[in-house]
Amino acid sequence: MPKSALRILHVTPYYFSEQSVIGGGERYVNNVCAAVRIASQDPETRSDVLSFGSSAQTMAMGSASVLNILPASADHLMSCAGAAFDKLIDDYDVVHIHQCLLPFGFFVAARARMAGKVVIGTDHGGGESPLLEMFPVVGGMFDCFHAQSQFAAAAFTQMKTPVEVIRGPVDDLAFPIDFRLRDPDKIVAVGRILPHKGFEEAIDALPSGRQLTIIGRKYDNRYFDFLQGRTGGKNVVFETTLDDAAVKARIGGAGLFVHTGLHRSYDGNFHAKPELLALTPLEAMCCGTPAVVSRAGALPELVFLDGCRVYSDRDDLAQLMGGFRSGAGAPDPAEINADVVAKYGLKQFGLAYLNLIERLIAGS
Amino acid sequence: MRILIVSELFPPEFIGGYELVAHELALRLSKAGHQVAVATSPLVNHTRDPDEPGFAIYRTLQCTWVSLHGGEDQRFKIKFVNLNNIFAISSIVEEFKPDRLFLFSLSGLGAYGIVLFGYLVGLRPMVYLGDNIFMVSDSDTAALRDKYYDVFRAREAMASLRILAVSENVYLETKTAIATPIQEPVYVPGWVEDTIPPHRRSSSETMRFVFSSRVTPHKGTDILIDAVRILVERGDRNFQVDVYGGGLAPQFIQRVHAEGLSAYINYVGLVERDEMVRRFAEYDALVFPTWQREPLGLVPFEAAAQGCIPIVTAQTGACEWLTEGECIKIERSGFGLAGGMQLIMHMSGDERAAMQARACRNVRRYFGASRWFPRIERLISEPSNAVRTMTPRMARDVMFTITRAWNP
Repeated sequence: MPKSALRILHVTPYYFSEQSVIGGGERYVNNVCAAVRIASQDPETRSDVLSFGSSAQTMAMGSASVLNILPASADHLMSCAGAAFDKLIDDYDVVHIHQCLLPFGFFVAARARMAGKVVIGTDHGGGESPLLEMFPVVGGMFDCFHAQSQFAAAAFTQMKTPVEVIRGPVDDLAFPIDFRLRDPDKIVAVGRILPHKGFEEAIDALPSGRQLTIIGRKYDNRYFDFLQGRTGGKNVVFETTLDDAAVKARIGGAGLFVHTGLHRSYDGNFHAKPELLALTPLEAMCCGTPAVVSRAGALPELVFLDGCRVYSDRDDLAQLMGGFRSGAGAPDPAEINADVVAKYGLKQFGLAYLNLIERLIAGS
Repeated sequence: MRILIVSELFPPEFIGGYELVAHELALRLSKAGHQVAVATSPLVNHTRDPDEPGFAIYRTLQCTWVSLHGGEDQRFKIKFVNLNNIFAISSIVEEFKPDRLFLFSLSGLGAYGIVLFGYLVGLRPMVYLGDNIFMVSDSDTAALRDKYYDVFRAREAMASLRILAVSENVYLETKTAIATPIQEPVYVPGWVEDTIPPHRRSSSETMRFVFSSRVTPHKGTDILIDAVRILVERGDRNFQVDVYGGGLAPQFIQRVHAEGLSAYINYVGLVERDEMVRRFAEYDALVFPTWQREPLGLVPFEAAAQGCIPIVTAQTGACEWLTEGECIKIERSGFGLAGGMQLIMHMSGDERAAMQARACRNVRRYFGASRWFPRIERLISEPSNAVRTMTPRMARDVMFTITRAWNP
């Protein structure tokens, strides 16, 4: 057991910022830090982040976490290695590596191993090294893999390292319940404008008399043009530059949230891991907004939430978009919020996560 | 005899049937009273060899395509002559003093150079051709191969190589790759352990299919998914496919999930070979929609010996040996495989049981290990009529000198 307070370092190739990447995998790291802060009994417990950028920086993240940026690129591993990197790792008891199946993940895991740390890995769908097919032994660099869903756990099949599924965390403090008057005819969909988000499914299924607002940064102009051409006179609004506060307001004022992630996108491409957790519908449910999700990736695992329904095809989606909404067919916002916070919220995650770390430290 | 076996991988490290056969032959030759040693690459995913394998294992070879260092060695000549391996084999030959050299999978070891070394030291190598280990993938490499023959005077060595081929498929492909005269092969099939009695379970309502191979698209995993989807769309839903094997399992599981077929396809994992052979008895049929260039495919024989009817791509090596009555030969496509599976599903119970019994009986009769192993042993025992002999050290130094002169 560590003599002083527990210190966890999250190492991630990119961090949640306009200067790096605005994506679920990056936001997830922030959420885990928040979960540790909330669940830990010890105010001295640290949960900090190490990532990479164009220049060295140290920034506060919330009240008790620090984001350390080293001047390097996760795509060029040699640029990451060095005294500053080693010193940071040395200062922590546990190294939690995000995007752990990339060569970057193995590299950091091996370095942390050499430093005698407890090593945890989480995949966020950023790819996997072909090394794994021939050498599953590299999984031994990790003490444990953490999966955010059963679907995410499949990525570790064949490796002997234990896998622990802890669902969540969704940042229920950043997305509190919204008690304002909702417009039940408004439907929102949130995500980066990328083909595997499948927004066209929501457009196609949109019932008359309803408005669909698609919110997200434009990462693929061709796909954005495709979506615009798909609206066919329906009441579809695109919001591509909103800040977090405005996004929350849109979600909180809507009658329904839809997530239409898919494995086979409109351009014929196959996406093996479109959603390993799906933060956005969870965030919507934290706001009290019911959600309808597809069967892609981990999305069907949300079915046991009171505020969530899973659709199987477009007819099914159209029916749910017509009949399952706040004030008509869906549970009360407070019930939706309480249920998702209990099952996916920061505290439940933080407690399970710290418990896992305790067991790993005891085992090491 | 003192037999040195060379194989780029050797169990417990293995990719597929080729390495398993090398292991099995090492065991059988050892049990038959021969002194056996194996030269292979280091263990990576395992910590140690079995305590008493019955023969010596030298894990000192460098296999480029599963290199510990990673990355293909870009000095292209290593495909032909890998001096690290020539030096390592030279040391083993000096120590073990074999009188036979028995070659298996060598693609990543510098196959051409090992044949030449064996020839130079008078061992007259024999290769068990379970795959095309002399593959030449493009015209640049082909030009280099011809230069190699000229620079090393290696055509004689290739011509002296004795060949056991598992199929005409693999022999013709290899002959094309080598592109200099080689000997006609002796064909040997996949064989099955005929001392394990079949123990078929009683059939159930749900038709049970099994896939057992490397989980990777060239073995037909994508075709399997397509076939299952086609069957489900056609309304044939009373079946289950269990998938065994290592490889790209996570990607396979994700794809099955993406297609919504998790209710029909179940990934089980990797099990020991003996256990797998026993489990075949629990299934009605094996699905093996592998690529057409499959040199043999041992698994259809093992499955058939347990009464599990193989459904196999028609052009594979296995189908050169198995008759229509013992397996179902299919076109390699989702529709082809779905058709084969449907045939099994819609047979009457008696008809299916009769085919299972026939497959089991015939495969055991014609492909039993007790029938084929003595033949292989006899072939290895044939006296060497090597014309060149030099000491291992001299052969090694000759190859070193020419290589460095060629590649200063």
